[in-house]
Formats: sequence, structure tokens, C-alpha cells
Amino acid sequence: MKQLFFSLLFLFAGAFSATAQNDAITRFFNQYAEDERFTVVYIAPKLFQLAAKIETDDEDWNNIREVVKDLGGLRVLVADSIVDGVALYKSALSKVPTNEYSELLTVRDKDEHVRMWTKDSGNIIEELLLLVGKPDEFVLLSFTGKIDLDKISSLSKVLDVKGADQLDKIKTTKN
Amino acid sequence: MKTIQFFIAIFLTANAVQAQDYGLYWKYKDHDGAIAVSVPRWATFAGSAFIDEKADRKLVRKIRKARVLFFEDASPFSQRDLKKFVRKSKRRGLDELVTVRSGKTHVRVLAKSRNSTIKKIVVLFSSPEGAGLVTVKGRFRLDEINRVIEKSNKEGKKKDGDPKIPNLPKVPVIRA
Repeated sequence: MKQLFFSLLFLFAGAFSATAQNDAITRFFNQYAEDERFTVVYIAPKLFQLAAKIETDDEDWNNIREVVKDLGGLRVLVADSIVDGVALYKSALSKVPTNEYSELLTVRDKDEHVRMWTKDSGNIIEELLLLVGKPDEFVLLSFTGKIDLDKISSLSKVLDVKGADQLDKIKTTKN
Repeated sequence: MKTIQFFIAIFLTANAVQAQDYGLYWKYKDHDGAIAVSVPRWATFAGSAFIDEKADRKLVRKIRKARVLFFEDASPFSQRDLKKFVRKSKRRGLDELVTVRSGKTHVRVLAKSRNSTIKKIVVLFSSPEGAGLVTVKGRFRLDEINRVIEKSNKEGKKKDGDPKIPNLPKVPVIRA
């Protein structure tokens, strides 16, 4: 009985902490959702599902379709004419639950900071988190769904979002 | 008894019509400063005759009904209205596709679809220049929409050299 009680308590605590960790990123998004310095974009899974149904002869599109069909959603928070980009970057960085995400890439080039994390279960990557901080720019991008790292960089061509070009770095790293 | 049946029928029909726009169009179409346009199928069909391009004409002819509600000033929609709208639209099978907020501009796109066909698109927008709602009902196949977008992209490239794309994510069906 005691064992069962502790198992249940452990499970409950585990589930609660996982939710709390996810909430940290969501809260960060929500915190700036109405801030006019930021552009907020949310692409729902339904749009990815619809896009994946489009059939054309275009080979590029067919490659992108393979990526898009398993995507669950995309959230982007961008600010490109701010003065506290690096401070925001550091604030967002402190909110990333590092025990839940594994770091994929880190770049620091002069004033530019780029970090990417993935969250996986088994062999499947469930979330890709991208954080970019420059003195005048800040980007937080979160892809969810089943993500193929070999193919996700191809999305940088179709996403006209600041910071999405950083996805190309995955390809560079892998090569 | 027949009179009661008649009134019940009228009431149900009125409710069904209002349900198509989840109340917003009907609530605000007579609001001060509102421009409300309802385009029936015959009008879009007749209008399509002036479209030269066959693919575009074909797509326009698939519009069964279109409604536009526009306010030149700030949005009169209250938060309560919008919450109600989202709640009702979800209940009636309308899925959120994209939400964008940039500065004071908010755009929300919702759609009802089955397999590869979009049956309804609702765009809700508000900006300092105006606010409103656009509802288009019809049967639009995704590949047809994609063909028209592709074509307009190519034409845009030809005219301007580089396509003029706003600083927003393109819907994945559009390719640069």
C-alpha cells in the first residue's frame, strides 16, 4: 500500500514537473504575446496537415511536405528593433528547462547568441527550440511534432521569419 | 397549429443563418460605421466572367457565399465577443490555422476542411487602419488554391524581379 502510494506520488510529481517545465516556455511566450515590440506567430497543426495534402510535381515541395506532415505546430516570438535583445535572450535562457531539453547547437559570434535545443522521447524529436539574441534582435521559435533534423533545415526556405535562417545551422553542424 | 410550426421553422432558419458567422457579422452589421457586404453565389459567378485567367475564374466560381464586415476605425468587437466567436467556431468544426500579431495588427485565420477540400475560411483582423471579418464559403480544393498562389507568385516575380513578401510567415503552401 505504502509502495503504491509513493509510486503514485512520484508519478504525479513527475507529471506535474513536466507540465511546469513546458509552461515556463509557454509563459514566456504569453508574457510578450501582447507586447507591441514583438511579432507573435502561431501556426496550428491543422495548417501543416492541410499543406501536407497538397500534391505537386515540384521536387522541392515534395521534400518539404515530408517535413511538414509530421509537424504539430509552430510558435514564434520575434522582436527586431529593440535595445535589450541580449537581456531578453538571457531571460529566456534562464527559463529553458535544461534537464528536459538536450542542447543541439550553441553559437556565439561577437554580439550574436544562438542556441538550439531538442526534446526527444526515444528516437523521436518532439520539440525543437531556437533562441537567438542580438543587441537589437530577439527570436524564440518552437517547433513541435515529429521532427526530422535532417530535413527541418529545408523549412528555412519557406518560413519568412527572422531567425528561421538559423535552422540552416543544423545542416552545417550535421555535415 | 400551422402558424406555430411556421414560426418554429422561421426561428430555426434564422438561427442557422446566424450560426454561419458565429454571431459577429449579424451582431455588428448595423453598427455605426460598419460596411457589411454579403455576396451571394450568383454574384460571384457573374463577377467571375470578368476574370481572364481560367484557374482564377474556376476558383472564384466555387465561392458559395462571401461576407465582409469592415470598420474603418478601431475594432468594435469586445473580448467577450471574440471569446464567444472562438468557442462557437471550435464547436462547429472550424480549426484555427494561423494567428499573427505584429505591432497593433492582429490577424486570425480559421478554416473548416474535409480531406483535401476547404469548405469555409474565416479571417478576423484588426489594425489601426481598420478591423473586420471575412467569411468565404465554398468548396476549394487545396491543389487548386496552391496552383493560383503559385501562379501569382511567378507573376509577382516577373513584374518586380523579387517577390514582395511581407515580414510574416508564408503559409507553407507558398514557396519562395
